[in-house]
Amino acid sequence: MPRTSLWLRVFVGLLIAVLPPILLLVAAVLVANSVLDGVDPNLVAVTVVAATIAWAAILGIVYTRSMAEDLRSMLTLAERGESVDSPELGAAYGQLAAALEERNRQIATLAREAGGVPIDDAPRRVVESLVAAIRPVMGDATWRAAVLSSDDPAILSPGIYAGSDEAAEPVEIGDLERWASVSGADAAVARLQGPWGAFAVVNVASNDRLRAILYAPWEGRPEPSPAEVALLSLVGQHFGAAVEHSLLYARVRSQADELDRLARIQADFLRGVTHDLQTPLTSIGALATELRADATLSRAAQGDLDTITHQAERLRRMVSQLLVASRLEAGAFTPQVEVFAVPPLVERTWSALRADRPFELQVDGAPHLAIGDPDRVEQVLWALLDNAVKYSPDGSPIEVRVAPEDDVLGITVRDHGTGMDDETQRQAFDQFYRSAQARKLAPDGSGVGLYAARGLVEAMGGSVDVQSTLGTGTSITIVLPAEPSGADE
Amino acid sequence: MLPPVRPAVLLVDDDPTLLSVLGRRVTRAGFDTRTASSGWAALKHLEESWPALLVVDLMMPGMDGFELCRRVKQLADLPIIVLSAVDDPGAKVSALELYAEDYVTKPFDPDELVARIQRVLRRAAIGSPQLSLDGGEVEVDLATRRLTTPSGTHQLTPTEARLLQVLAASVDRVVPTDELLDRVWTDAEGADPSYLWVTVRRLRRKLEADPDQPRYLITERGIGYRLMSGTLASKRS
Repeated sequence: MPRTSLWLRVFVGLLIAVLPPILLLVAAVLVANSVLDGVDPNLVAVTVVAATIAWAAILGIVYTRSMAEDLRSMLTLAERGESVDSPELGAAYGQLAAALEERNRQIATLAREAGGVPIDDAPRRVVESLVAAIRPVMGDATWRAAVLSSDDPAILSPGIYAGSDEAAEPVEIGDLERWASVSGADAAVARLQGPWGAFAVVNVASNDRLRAILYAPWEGRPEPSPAEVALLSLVGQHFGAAVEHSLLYARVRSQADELDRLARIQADFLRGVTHDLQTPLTSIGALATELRADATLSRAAQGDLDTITHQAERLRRMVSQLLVASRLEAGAFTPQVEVFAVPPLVERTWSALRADRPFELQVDGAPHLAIGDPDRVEQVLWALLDNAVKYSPDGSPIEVRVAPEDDVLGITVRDHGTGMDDETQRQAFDQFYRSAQARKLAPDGSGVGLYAARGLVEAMGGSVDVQSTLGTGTSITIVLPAEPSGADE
Repeated sequence: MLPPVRPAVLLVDDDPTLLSVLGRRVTRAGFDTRTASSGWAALKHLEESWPALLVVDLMMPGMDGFELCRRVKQLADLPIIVLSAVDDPGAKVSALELYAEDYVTKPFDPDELVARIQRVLRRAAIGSPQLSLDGGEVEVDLATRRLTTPSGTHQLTPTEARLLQVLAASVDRVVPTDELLDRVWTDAEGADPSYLWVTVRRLRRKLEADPDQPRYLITERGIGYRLMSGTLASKRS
């Protein structure tokens, strides 16, 4: 059944609604003086009004029923996607639903394909994966990517990328791509008409780091619809972000590789230097020890041998300090865990220092054994005692106090020297830090002794504290894990 | 009467001066000392005779100490002391775990090396890098210094591993304190009985379910310590 137009139906409806009351009113006026003579005009008027109301009520009922049917028809259309009464409406609804379904499919495909593109891969691989991803999204295998420029051509070279084909190198950029890139630079998505025909161009990135587009022939097709523009914009944004992330990742990885390479060179160098320095030091020490056993040597020669041994020992300790400092810097220091007595270690270290000073070792409390690396603690003590001697006047005493408390042992090295100001106290344990006063009193220091000392003590689970007053002296306390050394059971 | 056989020690280092000095010192200590200036020369020595122990420098041109140790261990389970300037805990740990019985960092006192050679040879005579107590309840791998108990796996310090090895050689029997001090520590470390007491206390925390009621590492008051294989300890409990 052919459907009348909406406006015709409205006009006919209004005519049907208005015409009968008007005709009734006209008839009443025409016959009022003849047929209805003597009838009360008010009664005639009431009758006309009542008849009009009744007509309106009848029309209202009829239209309501008609509208209910339309409503039911619309509900059926919405629920089932079909309309018995209106096939055109059903067809329009079907087209809309199909368009929505296609858009959903494209978005789902985009999400799936985009999720499968690894940004930690090589940027070229990422670009090829993205081109391979846009094709099923748009249902068009002619889409390509053109990288006009990237800030690191070694990582991502300019060229045309036509999908995932690892063997093929990107094709060189041509005039078409340059034209598309320049002409489409203003909009995220554009349909361009030029000497090569019509193309859809998606602007992926246009900055200092990366210039790239996605494009496909668009000949004989209308301007992309708003929905297509929105989808292509989304693809372009994702594409640009993914390629820029992969470029960033590749740069960071390249820098990390370079840092690793430099760290390996540094470690090899350090290992080589250590070997080169420490092997002859071992020979010097061993030969000096052998020679000292020779009873025929003069007293002067014995003294010289002692000096050789002592200086070799100083050199060994300096090399060791540098090694520890570099290893602490690399976070690669793991001390041994042994039990050992501290007072003999203090005495041995003081003796090795050969300082001509009054020295006092005070041991308080119940006997304890420290838990840590005795060689490293000796290294720490040597640094503290060496500093105490360097930065206090000749002849002034050096005091060491060993005091246990529960499961720790405090070792305090005290001098009566120049002391440190607040600034120096704060920075005394920084690597290579040397105050102006320190440089004046001991020009040969390296500034790694206290840095290495704190690192070593902390690596063994201990702590370091400094108390100092200018002109009065300095006390440095190291606290180490310890256990009471009383008899078992 | 034949003279007593002197244990042979093969010193391998690419520094001729050090090799010469160490050779003289080790010979004075009563060892039959041989020297090799490279990994290849050391392997050639091994083709002719096997020493009781090798002292190997880690950093050598050509075949380095790690490679030499690996090849030696393929030939025979000879005790090795690694001698190196590589004062790197990483290298030390991997050398100790993989091949070496001990590790000495250059520069060192030759007397210290001699003391370590003697200690390693004493322990090598004991043997047994694996130890199992109480029917497998407690497992000790002395080569990797790992102790496995029902409460989990613990890493032993070198001293704790040495102590366990010496006690394990006389399992269920008392080992006197003096003997333990002599075998576990070198003279240079100046250990006294308190070192042993504290080390035992710390070892019990890893070995025993209740360190205050030890089942495996028993104190024999005034004498020394006894490592129980488990059976007797089980009966006691």
